[in-house]
Amino acid sequence: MARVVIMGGGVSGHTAATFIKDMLGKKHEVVVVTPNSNWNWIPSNIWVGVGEMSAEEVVFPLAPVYKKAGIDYRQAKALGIHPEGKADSDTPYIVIEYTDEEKSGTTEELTYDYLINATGPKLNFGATPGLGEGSNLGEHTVSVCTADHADHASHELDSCIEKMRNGERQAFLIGTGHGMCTCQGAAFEYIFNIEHKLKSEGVRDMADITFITNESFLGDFGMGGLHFKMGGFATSSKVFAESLYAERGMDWIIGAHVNKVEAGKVTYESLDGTMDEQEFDFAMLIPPFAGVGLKAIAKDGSDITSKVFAPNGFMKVDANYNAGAYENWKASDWPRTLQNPDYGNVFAVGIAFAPPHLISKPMSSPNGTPINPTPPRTGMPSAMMGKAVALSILDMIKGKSTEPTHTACMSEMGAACVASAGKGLFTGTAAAMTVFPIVPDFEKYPGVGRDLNGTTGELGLAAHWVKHILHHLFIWKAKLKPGWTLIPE
Amino acid sequence: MIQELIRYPDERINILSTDVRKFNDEVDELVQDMKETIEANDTEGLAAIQIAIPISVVVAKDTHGEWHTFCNPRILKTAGKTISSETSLYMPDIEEEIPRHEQITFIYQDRMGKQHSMTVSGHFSYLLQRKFDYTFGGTFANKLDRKHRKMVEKKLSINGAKGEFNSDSNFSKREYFKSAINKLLFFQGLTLFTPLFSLKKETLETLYHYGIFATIMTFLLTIGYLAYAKYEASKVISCTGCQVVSFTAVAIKYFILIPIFFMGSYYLVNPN
Repeated sequence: MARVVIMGGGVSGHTAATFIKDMLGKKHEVVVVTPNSNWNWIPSNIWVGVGEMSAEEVVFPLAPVYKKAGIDYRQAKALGIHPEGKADSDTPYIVIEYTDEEKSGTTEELTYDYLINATGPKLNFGATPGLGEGSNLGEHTVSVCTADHADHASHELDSCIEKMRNGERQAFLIGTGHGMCTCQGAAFEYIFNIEHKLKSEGVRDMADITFITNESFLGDFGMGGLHFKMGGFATSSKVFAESLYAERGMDWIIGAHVNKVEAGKVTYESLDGTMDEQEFDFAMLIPPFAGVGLKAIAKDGSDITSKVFAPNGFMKVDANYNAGAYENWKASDWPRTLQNPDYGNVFAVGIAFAPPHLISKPMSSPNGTPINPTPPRTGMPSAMMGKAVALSILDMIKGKSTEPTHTACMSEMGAACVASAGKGLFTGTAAAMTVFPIVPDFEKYPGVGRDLNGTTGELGLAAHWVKHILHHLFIWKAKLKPGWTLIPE
Repeated sequence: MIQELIRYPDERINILSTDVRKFNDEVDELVQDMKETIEANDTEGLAAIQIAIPISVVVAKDTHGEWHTFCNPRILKTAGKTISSETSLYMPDIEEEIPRHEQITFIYQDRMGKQHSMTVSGHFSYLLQRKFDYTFGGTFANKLDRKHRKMVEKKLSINGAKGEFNSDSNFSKREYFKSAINKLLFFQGLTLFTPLFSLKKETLETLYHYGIFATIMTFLLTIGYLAYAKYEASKVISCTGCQVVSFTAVAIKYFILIPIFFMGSYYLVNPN
C-alpha cells in the first residue's frame, strides 16, 4: 500500500487529491493536509467583495467531501519536509501542526511514499509597509484574496456607497500593492465589478475610480499581453483594456510599485524612478505572494531548504533555473513534470512550484526596484498541473513507470480566463479570454511567440453567464457530486 | 534597405509586437531600414510593425529633425488632453481628429538596451503616441468611435482599399451560424409586436407559423453551431479547452433566448 500526501487543498491540491484517490481506489492511502476547514472557489470572491454573493456561497466544508471520497483529511499546516527520513529510518515524512480546535498546536510526523506540494501562496501583505503584517491584512485597505477578506471588503464598500448617497465624493483605488504582484486579473475583475455596482446603486457620478498596477502596460496580465478575438476580430489586450477603462471612465496608473500604505494614501515608485502619491477612500490592493515558509531537513538534521526551495519559498521542480538574462529565456525553461530534481517522489503544483523566471519582460526603476508582474499560475493551469501529477503518480505506484508519465507545461498549454466585468442576470458582462501557450514559445511560433489561432474571446452577457455557470460547475466538481470527473479543469 | 510598408487592410497591424530581447546587429539593421524607409516616404516616424516586423521598435524624428530610436517603449504618465489632426501611412489619404494627451512620460531602451525615461509634449508627443500604439496592435482607428471608424472604412473603400479594421482572415465559419440565428430571432422578435396592430386572424396565423419555424430552425442551427464549433476547435485550434468556453457561452445564450421567443410567439401572436 502506498501513501500519497498532498499538502494544500486549494484548486491544484484538491484536484490532485480527488483524482488520485478516485483512480487508486481503496488499496492505497491519500492524505490531504490543509490548515483550512473550508474549500473556497476563489474566482467568485470578487462577487462577494461587491455584495453580490455571500461568503457562504463560495465556500464549503472539506471534511464531509473527503470523508465521502475516502481521503484522510488532516486540518493542519505543514511545517517541514524530511525527504530523506531521519537517522533511524529512510522513510520520508513531513511534520504537520494541527489547526483544528480539537488538536490545535499538536504536531505529528506523517510519512509518505509520494508528496505533492500544493500549498499555494502566503499572502505577503507584510512586504509593503502599511499593507499588513506578515500574512495578515492591514487596517487601511481591503482584499478579495479570501472569502472572509471579500466579505469585509463588501461591508467597507457599502459604507462608501452610503457616504456617496449623502453627497460625499469617494476615491477608489484598486490594483496591486507591490511591484512583484501577480493576479492582476483579479484586480481587473474587481474594479469593473465595483464600477458596475456603483452604477447600479446610482452613485457612479460620485466616485473617482483608479486602477494601479505593476504591469508596464494595461493588459499585460503577467503574460506580456495577449491577443484575443471577439466575434472573429483580433485585438491586443492593451487596446482592449484601455478602451474598456476609457469607456467606463476609469483612470489607470501603470508601472507602479506601491511602497507604503497609510490611512487614505499610498506612496508608489514608478518605472521612471519618480515617487508619487495617490489618495483613496477605499482601496483593494492585492499583496505579493511568497512561499508558505516550509523547511526542508536532511537525514542528518541539516537544513536543506535552499536545495529544495527557491529563495522566494517556492519549491524547485524540473525547470531550468539558470536561464540567465531575459534574452536567453526559452519556453523549454518551464517545468514539464513538476517533479523535484533531487527527490523523485516529491512534486509541486499550482502556485507552490518555483517558476524559472517571469513571463512578462523584466522591468526595474532606475533605483533598481523590480516592478513587474510575476507569472500567473492559478486557476485552470494549476488544476491541469494537479491532474497531470496525479496521473504520473498513479502510473508510478502501479509500476508502469519509474519516471513521471504526464506533463503540464505552461509553455505547452493554453489557458482560458473568464473575467467578470459586472454581475447581473441581464446587466452582467464578462470577457472570456484565452491564450496559447501561456508562456510564449519564440522557437515554435517565431515573431510573437504565440499561436494566434489559439486565442479567442467574447465580451458580453453570455460570457457573464458562463462565469456564473462555471461557479456552480466547479463547486459541483469540487464537492465530487455525480459526473464530477467529466467536468474539465 | 527601404522596406515595403504594410497598408490597410492588413491583419498584421493588430499584432502585439514582442519586446526586443537581444540588442544585436539585427536591431541595428532594422533601425537602419526603418530610417531609410522613413526618408523614402517623406515621413517622421515608423513602428517596426509598419514594415511587417512584429518587434517593439519605434524610430522617429523630433521637431528639430533629430533621430530617436525607442525600443520597448511604455507610456507611464500623461498630462492634458487635446485633439490632434493625424494622418497615417497605413491608411493613405485619411486625416482624422484623434484624442491625444498633450504630454507623455515614457520609458524605453536604447539600441544598447539601456533604460531611459523621457517627457515630450506637443507634435512629437502625438507622433510617438501614434507610433507606440502600433507596437501594441492599435491604429488611430481604435481611438475613433464606431461611427467614425465606419466612415473611415467607407472612405478607404472609395479610395480603392476595401476592407475592415481589425479584419481577421481566421474569421470562424461558426459565425455564419450565429448570423443566421440572429436574423431569424430578429424577425421573430418583430412579430411579437403584432398585438399593437389589429391584424387579420390569417395574418396572425402566418406570423405564428413563422414563429414556430424560427424556433425549430434556431434550435437546429444552435445544435449545428455547437457541433461545428467543436469540430472546428478540434481541427484548427491548438487550445481546444479554451474554445469551449467561448462557444458554450454563445450556445447557452441561444438556448435561453429561443424558448423565451417561442413563449412570446405562443402568447402574443398565436390567434387560437
